[in-house]
Amino acid sequence: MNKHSLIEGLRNHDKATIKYIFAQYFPMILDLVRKNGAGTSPQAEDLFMNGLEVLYLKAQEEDFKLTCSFSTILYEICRRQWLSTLRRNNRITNLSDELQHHLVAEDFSTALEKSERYDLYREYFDKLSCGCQEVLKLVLNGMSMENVATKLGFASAQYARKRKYSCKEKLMRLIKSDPRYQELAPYDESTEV
Amino acid sequence: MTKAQRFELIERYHAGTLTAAQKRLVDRLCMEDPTFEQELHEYREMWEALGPSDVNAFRGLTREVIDEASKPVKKKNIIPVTFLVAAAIVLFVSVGIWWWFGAASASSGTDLFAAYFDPPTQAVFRNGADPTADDLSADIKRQINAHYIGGEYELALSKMETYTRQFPKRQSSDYHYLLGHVHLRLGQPQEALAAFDSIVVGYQYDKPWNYGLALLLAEETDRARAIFLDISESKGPYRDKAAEILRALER
Repeated sequence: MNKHSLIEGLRNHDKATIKYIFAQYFPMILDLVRKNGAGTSPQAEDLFMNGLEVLYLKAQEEDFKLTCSFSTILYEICRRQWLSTLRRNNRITNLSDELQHHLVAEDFSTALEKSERYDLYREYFDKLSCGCQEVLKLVLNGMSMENVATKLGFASAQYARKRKYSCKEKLMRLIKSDPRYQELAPYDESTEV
Repeated sequence: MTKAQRFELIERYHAGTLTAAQKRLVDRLCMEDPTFEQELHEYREMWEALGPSDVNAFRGLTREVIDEASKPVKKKNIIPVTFLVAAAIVLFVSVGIWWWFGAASASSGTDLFAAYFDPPTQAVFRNGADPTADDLSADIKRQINAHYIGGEYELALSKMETYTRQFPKRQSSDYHYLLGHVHLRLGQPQEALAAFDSIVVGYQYDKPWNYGLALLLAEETDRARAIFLDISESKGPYRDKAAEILRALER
């Protein structure tokens, strides 16, 4: 598969393409994680998944054209993400040379930041109580407040609404109190992916 | 307007269900209140990160690929053949004795399944990743429902497959729940189990109950027993029925 068909496959949620990418490039990501900061295989899997998400977001841009090889860009995205993980955990020691130098000039900072913001939402969503998670999941999946109330055994749709609002507020409070959220570029409609 | 009402307005904006008056209100708020636009954006981001969005569907697919690749490879069988033959004879004799003295009177999984299976009367489901596809998919959904009500489950299943091809984004939990029942109607418990496994939202009580029934149909009695034990110890609506099934399995 050439790099353009890989990007096209990502755009189209093609499982065979993702399988191919995993088989071809995951060992490289695993190597990156193990050699720098003694990361584990599950950490490499998460990194691979986030890296691919950034590429997927980038691939949504109509004028996106990959100028370097697919493996280079995937490695570069994962490298940056891994570096920021290590920095966050104060584990920057004995980094290999390639981890410290930029490999490509391609600009995917918007997609990278978007993916990092998604990660914050997921991370703090997991920290909410089970009750809050359930309410928000149902609401985000488009269920009416009446059905949410019935499903979760609330006294009324009105109560379900209140609960939904307080859960959403709690989630946003948690996210906004994270220094990473402040570091990420503020919302700007013109930079939307 | 309270903060909660403001949030409702944002949700409706995102879902595309605003009335003309509400649309005007949103436009006005966007002009007058810079924080409102920020809140609109935050909601969209929350939905993209946590809801049935394209990016989450893609992430789910990637996770699936990683999990499939990480499954442990089955080790080569190194048990000697003679040992296997001896074990098979012992097992055969033991099962014969067990059957002769006790199990002949026990309820079979399929009997229990037939006694407790209570599928939905209508085949109605929402769209998953793409709620806006509702209008486009109305026709095929009507056909699925017509086949289902008419007892033509093969045709209903075939239409559901067509639906997935036409709307290939991640399907809703409603869809998987219904798909599971169609498979059960067709006597396909393994496919039903896979469909019930795909339910990610809701069906807190219905999912394990129907999963247990599918296991009964598949004659996987031990796994079914474990599930019904959990249900019988929960506070859900199927508690008593699960206890009945457990008693029947013990007989």
